[in-house]
Parts: sequence; structure tokens; C-alpha cells
Amino acid sequence: MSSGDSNLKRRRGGNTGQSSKSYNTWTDYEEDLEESGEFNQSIKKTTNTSSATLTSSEEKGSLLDYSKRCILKQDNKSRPIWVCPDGHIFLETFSAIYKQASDFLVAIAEPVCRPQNIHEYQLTPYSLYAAVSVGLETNDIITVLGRLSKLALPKEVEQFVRQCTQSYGKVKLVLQKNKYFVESAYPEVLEFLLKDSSIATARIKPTLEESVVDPKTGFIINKEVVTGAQISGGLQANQSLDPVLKNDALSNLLEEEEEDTVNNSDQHFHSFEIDPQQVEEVKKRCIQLDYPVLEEYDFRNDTVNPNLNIDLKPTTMIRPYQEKSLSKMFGNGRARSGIIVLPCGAGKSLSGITAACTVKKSILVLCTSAVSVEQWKYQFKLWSNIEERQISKFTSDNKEKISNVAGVTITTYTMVAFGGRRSAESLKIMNEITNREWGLVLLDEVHVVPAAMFRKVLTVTKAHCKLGLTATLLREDEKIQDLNFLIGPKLYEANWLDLQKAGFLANVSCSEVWCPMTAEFYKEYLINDSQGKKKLLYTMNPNKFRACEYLIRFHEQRGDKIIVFSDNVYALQKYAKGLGRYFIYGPTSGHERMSILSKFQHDPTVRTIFISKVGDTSIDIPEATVIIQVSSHYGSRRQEAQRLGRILRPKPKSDGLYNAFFYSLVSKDTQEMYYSTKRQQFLIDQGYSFKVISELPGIDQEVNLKYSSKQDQLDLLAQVLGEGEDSGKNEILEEDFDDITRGAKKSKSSAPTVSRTTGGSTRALSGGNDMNYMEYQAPAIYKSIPTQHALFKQRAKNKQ
Amino acid sequence: MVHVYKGLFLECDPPTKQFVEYISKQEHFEVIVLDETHLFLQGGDEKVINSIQRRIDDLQNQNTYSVFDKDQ
Amino acid sequence: MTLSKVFQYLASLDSKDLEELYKDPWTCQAILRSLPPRSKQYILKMLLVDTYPLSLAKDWSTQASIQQHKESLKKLFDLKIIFLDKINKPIQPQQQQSSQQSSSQQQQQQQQQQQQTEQTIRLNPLFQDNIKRSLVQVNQVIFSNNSSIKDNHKPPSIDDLDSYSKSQWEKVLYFLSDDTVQPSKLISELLLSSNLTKQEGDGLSITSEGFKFLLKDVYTQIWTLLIVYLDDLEKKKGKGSGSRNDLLSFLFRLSFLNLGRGYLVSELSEQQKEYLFALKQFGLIYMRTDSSILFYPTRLIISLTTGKTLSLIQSISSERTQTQKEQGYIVLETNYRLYAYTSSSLQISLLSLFVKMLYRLPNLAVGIITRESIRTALIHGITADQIIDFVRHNSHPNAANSGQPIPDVVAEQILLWEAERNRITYTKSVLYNSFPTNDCYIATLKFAKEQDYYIWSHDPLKTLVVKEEGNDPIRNFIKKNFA
Repeated sequence: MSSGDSNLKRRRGGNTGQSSKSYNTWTDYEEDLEESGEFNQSIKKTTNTSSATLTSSEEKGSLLDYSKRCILKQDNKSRPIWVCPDGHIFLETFSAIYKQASDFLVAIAEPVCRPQNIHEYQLTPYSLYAAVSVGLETNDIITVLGRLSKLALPKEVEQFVRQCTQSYGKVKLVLQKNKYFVESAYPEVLEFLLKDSSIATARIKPTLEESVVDPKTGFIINKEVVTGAQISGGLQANQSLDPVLKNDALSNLLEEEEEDTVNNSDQHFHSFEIDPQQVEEVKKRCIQLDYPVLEEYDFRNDTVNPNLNIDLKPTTMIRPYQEKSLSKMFGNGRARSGIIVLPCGAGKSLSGITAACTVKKSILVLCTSAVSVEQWKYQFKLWSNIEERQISKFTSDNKEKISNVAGVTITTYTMVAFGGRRSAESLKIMNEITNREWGLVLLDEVHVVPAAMFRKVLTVTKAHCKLGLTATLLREDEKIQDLNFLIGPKLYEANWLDLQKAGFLANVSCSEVWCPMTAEFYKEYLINDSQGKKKLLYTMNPNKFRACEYLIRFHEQRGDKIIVFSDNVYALQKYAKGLGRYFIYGPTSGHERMSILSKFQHDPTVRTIFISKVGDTSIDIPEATVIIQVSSHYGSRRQEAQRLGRILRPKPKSDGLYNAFFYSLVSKDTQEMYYSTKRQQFLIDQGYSFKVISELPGIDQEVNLKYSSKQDQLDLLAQVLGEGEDSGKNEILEEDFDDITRGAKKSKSSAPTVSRTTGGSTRALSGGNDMNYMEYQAPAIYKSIPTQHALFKQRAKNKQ
Repeated sequence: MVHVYKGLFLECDPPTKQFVEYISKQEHFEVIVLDETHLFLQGGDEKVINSIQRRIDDLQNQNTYSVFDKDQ
Repeated sequence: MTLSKVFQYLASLDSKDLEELYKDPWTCQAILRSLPPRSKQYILKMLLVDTYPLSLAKDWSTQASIQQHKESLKKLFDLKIIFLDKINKPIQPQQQQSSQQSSSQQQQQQQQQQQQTEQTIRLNPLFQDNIKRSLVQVNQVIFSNNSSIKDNHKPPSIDDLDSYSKSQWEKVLYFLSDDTVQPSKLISELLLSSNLTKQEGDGLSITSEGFKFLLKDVYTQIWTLLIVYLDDLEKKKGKGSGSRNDLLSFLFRLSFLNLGRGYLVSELSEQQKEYLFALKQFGLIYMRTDSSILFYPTRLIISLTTGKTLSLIQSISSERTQTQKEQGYIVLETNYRLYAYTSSSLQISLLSLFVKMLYRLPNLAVGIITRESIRTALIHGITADQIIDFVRHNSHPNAANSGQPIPDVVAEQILLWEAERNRITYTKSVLYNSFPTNDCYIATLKFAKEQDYYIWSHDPLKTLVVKEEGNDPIRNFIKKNFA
């Protein structure tokens, strides 16, 4: 957050030049990129290296007139989409085949915005890479796009799809016996890749004795010809369409057009071994060379690694979208690496656990905090039949031995990435982690992890398959590209509005409340040059305070439970103390947190709590139905989405149209207005709308609101002006070794002398008290699921 | 003797009044503060009003996020 | 409804002009057939009588439609088609009792009763004559329609004429909404003098009136411009450029022509040829070239005075694809994105007035509403309400069905953007302070209030602000009383 001030100054200037900065977390990095516009350039850089580019929409905002270039089909009415020559796609949601079309588009293109009537998507090299990864082929993509489109498919789009996909799927990264191999059926492709110096450098001599080497090329030749059953059958995996896709989305669109491609079963596979340390670099280079590597794991035929006895409990219900996302992962009977994007509260953990139950090998779960580790363990026990002894935690507090055969190990990114000296006990477990061939690595909250840490973690752990989970993958964010080569393509991204309509997410009323600055505060705001002071002034604006108190009263009377968020610690304390409510922030001890949250849950007199940004992600408070934001982290769209996520879990109690409320209090005529709108952009593109409340009805009649008298306001102003510069800044969280959202930079300098007493509190925080997590029954319309993926069908059979 | 000033009588909300006062020095016009919501622009004319309107517009523009901002 | 424009205009002319117009039988006939049925009937009832007592005229109507009855009579009075005469004659008392008129009219009648008068109505004799005559004459010839005379070109089909007039009128509208296009001199002058556009730099830009104009139906649009043209003629009267009445008669005459037939230009007077040239630019008349010997009336001019909005006219004002003919084309989303199902450049440039357009496809245009795009529209004098109404009026049925034709958040934001432009109000004024005594201040304050010069005052500071025009009187007041 130290970069905040400079960001502010650069906000409109676009002057970058701080490229060598180091970042604590992805979030900081992202904020900085967003503010500087640097990320735009880097995107350009990356895409330019790719030979395939479409007329880029860099000149955002200028009119692209395709009315003469594109040809409208006669029967365009019955077709749901327009495909523009620049790869932009518009989709009518009121089309009869909307569902099929959107399933298809989400597989091949990036969703840009998905409000009520018309959705927009964009074809990108990454989205097409993802499409190929889930088993779609070049011709399928082109045929279906052409069928769906009201316009004749533009030549350049067809060309773009071909360019992006023809080379995809030709190269695989294979993990065998703890060694990495780049493999392909086409030796010439491998030779092409080796012309790249980074890849050539990464290549090492075959270390396995049994390797058969082609004397001419030096490539290892896999003569076993495993006929697609083993890992090496990569190409075959792509030959048949994903059965699920075929069933629900494409069957009627594709009809019987599927061509029989060349049978590769008699082909030899060529490969070369690479240095495990260079895996990430090789993958990155391969993407840049337009040969992104596919990572697939044929777990059912893996006889080397022992099986884990784990299954979902018969009572566990999987929701249709969870199933859909997993069907993308296991489409061809193998496990693909990639990322699943589900909104907060939509049950990401269950998706991960279901994946684990499918792979049934050793599972490694990487979390962002110790609290989260507890939560995951709880969830594993809640949803699956895994035995307690098979789960081990590895945190600074809990160093449990990893099961010898196969097991679930839950740890934090920081524990694994730690580069300092470890205790003997810790070292032993770490060795176990680095030496094991993990069947599946679950990466929680992938967007929060700092790049360097991410790399480290993925370099030291050897995984057949990696599944990243996140709620908010901002597409304009460079991270989506990094994650692409670090983990894999985005396999699925849920549509928030659809989930809300189906009742899987609460129906939230979002409002932006405009609080006029008082004359005195505004005068100081105008003349004060310090950004910190400006921020403190608009946060402490007495009219905002009054609005906050007014809303709390209003919702407490309705019987709601309210969380008030303030990034600014000074404001947090001032508000909470002023209104006589509990508050939680960085320094609040685990015990106290637990006690406050418990009161919030059970004590009917405790209806409102104040929380700093420690509550953005890790704290799970299903009781809350109202969020009031007093101060936030500048224009962070992710924070906005995360905070909204706190109340997205479907509410059993429904009061009219909305069952949850999200208020952002904004001081009018200040920079806060700018940030507030910017923060909302992600949610707005998901179809949420923020109603502006320019005047709270009845606030002036409300008696006894604090800071209503001029004298009180002036006293407050004097106090605010008396505060130091730092009070305007957001909370810099205290060190917490396991928690990467908390000052990871510090942990570099100080040795991990971790002795936090969490005790039973984390159990409570994570939902260990049995009252926290509830999976509500799916609405009736989803009761009968027509298309069940083979894997799930199997599970259903076993259950009977 | 009674003092007489010609000019413009201005009515606005309190923050806007503060803003007009704030820019009066930069824009070189004299203001007489009347109360929370009223100002008197001594010798003020259309030109002064236009420059005030422009500054208010600028302020609002600065505080408004646009989806095209990143390209600016 | 749509007829009101032309009748409003005629009613605004003075009796001398109307008398002159009614000399022309074609004008009388055109007016007769354009009037609403009730008015028509009244004229026919009176066609063969000299005078008729007003008190009996109310029997023409049932009690339920007495309002329409009055309005119809009023319209005929306004057009000077019916005259009202007062004749000295005692009124029979029971008649008066039975009358259930409004109190003001009763008063009126009471006064009249005192004067012993009775009201009678009669038709304007000129008008009466012309209509009578037209009933007995069968083969009237407006312009000779000699089919033996042909120029050497194939005559245009009715479809040709329709699409011609449509494109001509669209051009006029297009000029309005796109200031990069320069209209013909006549049209551009008319747009300027009708305040639909204003001069801005080198080009013309649309005014608030212009925006409202674009939202009206074609019939009203054409009349709006024609009236400006007529008034211009009137101003230049006597300078050899014809007269308003000439042109009006000419227009009425043209409305009797047959669609699809060619008429000889040579039959027209020099003056009428000039009008023809003007009407061509409106799309009311078709001529292959300026020197063609034949001219063709279009559907627009034939229906101009009858006011029958034909399907063609409807389709011009809201051009849509076949199946959407009766439906809107705009989808506005909660994320401010706007999708217009249209291929019409006109509609797109209309939208461009307040939307930043991003994509244009053969049957779809995509844009986004931003503060900047709205601001530009507001600066042009277009109001937030006009924009919201326009979107609402033209919203796509799917958008309308799925909830709101225009999302509340967007509508409210547009209104807020408008409101933020009006954060200060100002008045030219004079400020007084340093009053020598409290009495002086109080007396001056009282004077200012009495004279309605008062704006603002502050007693403890003895400060007074008054309207600019109050300066001299107040100075004099102080001088007189306290110097």
C-alpha cells in the first residue's frame, strides 16, 4: 500500500517508470499496473510476440464500422451471435439457443460483460488455447462460430482461430518418475522449439536409464506406443470432442460433422528432458512461440502413484455449474490443469474437493492463510469420506506428518515458498512435499499469490495436475497470462447473473450513497496537498458518518446483521468507537476475533461489527446480510467483488426482491467518486447495477445522529487535522507468517519465529464450529440434471 | 456612507461554495461570502460565471471514472 | 392530431389573408376534406342556409359530446369559415333556462340578454360559394394531365417515388443529426431560421428544438419547415419572390393530384415553378432533372393536407426491419452499453448525439453512454428527459419485456449528470453594506422588498442584495431619505 500515493499522482498522467519495483502481493502489483497503464503495454508486448493478432482494439473508443465489410445472413434472426472481424462477439441472451451458445462461447472466448440482454465476448490467443485444452478442435470452433453467427464469419477471424489453434495441443509437458519431459508426436516441432535459446538451455541429458534415444535427433523415443491410454496420448485426447460439450452445447450445432482425424496410435512420441527449475520458463517460451504445452494427467492409468481412498459423501450435492466446471477439467477422462473461476459464495472448495475425489491420488492444497488451511480441512471432512489420519496440515503451527501412502496435505503458499532455514521437523516434511509426485495440486485464491512466490511453489512441487481456484480473475489483468503458463488455461468462468437467477447466489441490492462533504471538511480537502490527508478527510466526512449510522439503525431495526468495512484504521476505530460497536483489524488477537465473531453470530444485541480489510477474504460470516463500505482500497475492482462476496451466499430469509444489501458510502466531489465507480466496473460487467442514492430519505429527520451539530463537526475536523500523515493510509497488516495477504515482505527479513496462539479460534473462524457452512439445496429447476458427465454418473452409480 | 457593489449573486450548495471560494484566487475574482450557500461575486460577469462553470466541470470530470480512462 | 399544425397555422393568419385564400376553390376543398368529420358535417349543414341561430346549433350534438361540439365550432370560427353575428332580438326565456353552459358563458349570455341580442352563425360566403360550386362542377382540371405528352424517359413507378421522397426527407433529417454534412442552401437556411440548428463555427449544430423535432412524426416535421418557408415568403413579400398565399394555394392544389402521374411543368406560372424547385428539396415533388418537362407529386405532398399518415411515412420516421415494424430497436444495459438493432444511418447518427458509438455491424450498432457523451448532448441543449424518453420510446421489445426499457440506474445517472451542470445559479445584482444607521438599513430593506428588488439580506451585518434593476431606485431612495 506504500505505492498508493504515487499511484494517485500518476493516475491520469500515465507516467510509469517504476518497473523495478517489488511487490508484496499480486494485488499490489495489479493495482499498480492498473494505475499506471503499464499492463496495457505488457499485454501488447506479449501478444505481439504471438504471430496471430487481430485488429486490436487498442484504440478503444473509436468507432469500428463493419457494416460494409460484414455480410448479414438471410436467416440471421434465428442465430444468436455477431462475430466481428476483431474477434469481438455479441450474444443475444433472448435467443432460443442462448444456453448452448453461451456454453460454447465461454469455452472459446473471454467474457467481457454479461448483463441482462446482450453479452460480449472477445476471442484471444489465451481463450483459444483454453478451448483447445478442453478438447475443441480448430474446425469445430470455426464451424460452430460460423453456424451461430448472424454474419458470415469474417475471414480474419477464421484465420485467427486457425493460427492460434493449429499449433496448440501438439506439445505436451509430461511428468514421469519425477522428471519433466517435453513431448510431441512431431519431432520437427521439438526442433523448432529448441531453436529458442531459453528452451535449449533448459534441455538436459536424459537422466533415466531406460530412455531410448534417437541417435539422429537426440530425442527420447517412446516406443511403447501407449495408444492414448497413457499420458503420452496427448493428441488423441484432442481428437474426440469433450463428451459434455458435445452433449449439451454442440451436438445440434455440430451435428455429425466431426471428422475422423488421422489415427496416431502407431506414431512414435519424441521428447526431451528439461531441468525442473526451468519448467516455468520453458512453458512461458512455448506460449510465446505459439506452442503452448498441454498438461494432462491420465490418473486412471497411473499405476506408479498409489491411490487415495477418497469419495464424496453420498449426501453431498454438487450444483450444476460445479459439475459443468469439473466436466471441463475431466472432459476426456483425464485431468487437465487449469483454472476455475466461480463467484465468492458459490462453493469453490466443493469444486476442488470433488476434483480431488475424482483424481484419487495424493492431493496438495495450497492456501493463503492458516485460517484457510483449517477451513479446507473442515471442508474435506464435511464433503468427503476421507479419514482424519489421511489429512495432514503443514503450517507454522501445525507440522503434521504426511501420510506415507497417499493423502491430502494442506499447507500455505508461504510455508512451501519459504527460503530460509527450516527446523528439522519442517525440513523433513518439506522434503516429502518436494519429492512426492502429487496427483493434484489445488491452488486456492490464485489471484492473491505474488508472482515470485507462485513460481517458487510450482517449481518445488511436482504435480501431474494443477487446479487453480479464484473468484475474481480480472481479464485486463496481466496475471491471466502468467497464470496461463503457471497453471493452465481458464477452464470455466461462471456467469454471476445466471447463478443469481437460479438462486445459487443471494440477490444483492447494490447502492452507492453520495454523502456531500461538509463545507469545513471540503475546504480543508481543497487546500490540503497531502493525499493521505485528503483521503482521511473524505473518509471522515461527518455526512458519511451520519449516513453510516443512519443505515446501521435502519438495518438493525429490520433485524439484519451488518458488516462495516473500512480499510482506513483510523476511521475504523473512530467509527466503531463512536457508534459503540465491536471492531476487528490486523492487531486484533485471534482469541478476540473469535469472541467478537461468535457474538455477532449468536448475540441478538450484536448486529453490527466493523472490520478492516482482514475481513476481505479469509473470514467467513454467513450471517451477514448487509455490507457498508466506509473506506476502500482506491479503485480495486477485486476488493469490491470480494467484499460483495461476503454476502453472496444464498440467504434463506428473503424479504421481497432483495435479500442482501451492499452500500458504498462515497464523499461527493472528491477523488473517492472516481475510485468508487472504477471499483464497481467488474461487478457491473457481471450484470450488477449500483443505484446511486444522492439523498438518504429521512436522514435529516433522524434524531441523535452523531456529528449533526456544527460544533461536533468542527471538533472532528480538528482531530482529523491533528492526525499524522499515515492515518490517511490504509492498514498495513501485521506480520502473519502463513498469510500472504499480510506483509509478506517483512517475512523475508525476519526469521519465521512464529508463535501465534491461535488455538481453538481458527477452528471457529474457519467454520469448525459446525454452524458456519451450509450448502443450500438446489432449486427445483436444477433437480433433474439432464446431462451428467460420465465421471459423475459413475459416482452416482457407486452411491446406489 | 453606504457601500455599493455591482456584481453577481450566486447560490449553490455548501461544497460548491467552498470550491468557488477556493478557485477565486486562481481565477482572479473577488468574492464576498454571504452565508453557507450564497456568495457575491464583486464585479462578476458572464465571463467569470463561465470560468467557474468550466472549473466545476473539470472537477467533476476529474472525479468521474470513464471506461476509456486507461487509454488517456 | 397531426392536422393541428396546418390548421394552427391557418388560424394564426389574419382574416384578410384567409379571405384571399378562400378565393381559391381548391384551397376550400382541401380544407374541407382535411377537417375532422364533425366540422365537415357542420359546414355541410350550413351550406345552403344563410344564417343559423347559435342557440339551435347545440342540438347538432348530443349532451355527451358537447365539448367536441364546442371545439369544432371554435375551430371553424378560428379559421374564419364561420362568422358569428349578433342581432338585436329578445330571447325567449325558456331557451335560456334549458341551456347548461358553463358559468362564464352564462354570464356572457346574461349580459347579452340585457342588450337584447341573439347570436347567429353563418358560413364565410367565399368559402360557401366555392364549396357549392365544386359540388356542381364535375370535371375540374387542376393541371392538365395530358398523357400524350411524354418526355423521353420512362415514368417513375410509385415505388420509385416513395423511395425518392423517403430518401430526400431523410437527407433533411440527416443534416440535423450530423453536423459534418452540409445541407442544401434552402434547407440549411430553413433549419437555421426555425431554430432547429444554430451556427457554430463553420458548421451547424443541432439545438434542443432540433432534437425534439427529430422525435416527431414526418408530417409535423414537414409542416414545421414549410411554415418557416411560408413566413419567409411573407417577409419578402412584394420583392418578386411570390407570396405565402400563393404557395399555400399551390400546396392545396397539388394535394389533389394523382400519385404516379406526370404533370407538365409548362402549365405552371413562373412563380409556381420556383415553388416546385423548393418542394423538390423536401421530397414532396419529383423531377428527373431540373429541366424535365414533367413533374410528379409524391405521396408526401398528396397526404400533406389530408394528414393521413401513410405507412410509408411511418416507416420513414422509424425505419425498422420487417418483423420489427411496430417495435423499438434499442437495448440499453445496466452497464451503460447500448445496442441498436438498426442499419439506418439516420438512427445511428441520432444515437450518436448522446451515445459514444463503438461498433457498427450490418444490422446492429453498439455504443456506450458515458458522462462525456451525455455532457456533449446536454451542451447541445438536449435535456436528460428527452434522452430518457427517446430510449424508452424506442426500446427493443426484449429489453422492455425483461424488466425496464431503460435501466433505472442509467436513467438516474443521466439525470444526475444533468443536475451536476446546474450547481450554481446566479443573478445580476447589487450589494449594499455599511449602512450608516440601522434605521437606514431597515428602511432600505423595506423599500427593496416592497418594490420587489429584494434578493438576500443579513440583518446583523446590515448587508442587502437586490436585483440589478433596483439599483437606481434604491440609490435615489437612500439619497432622498438619508443623505
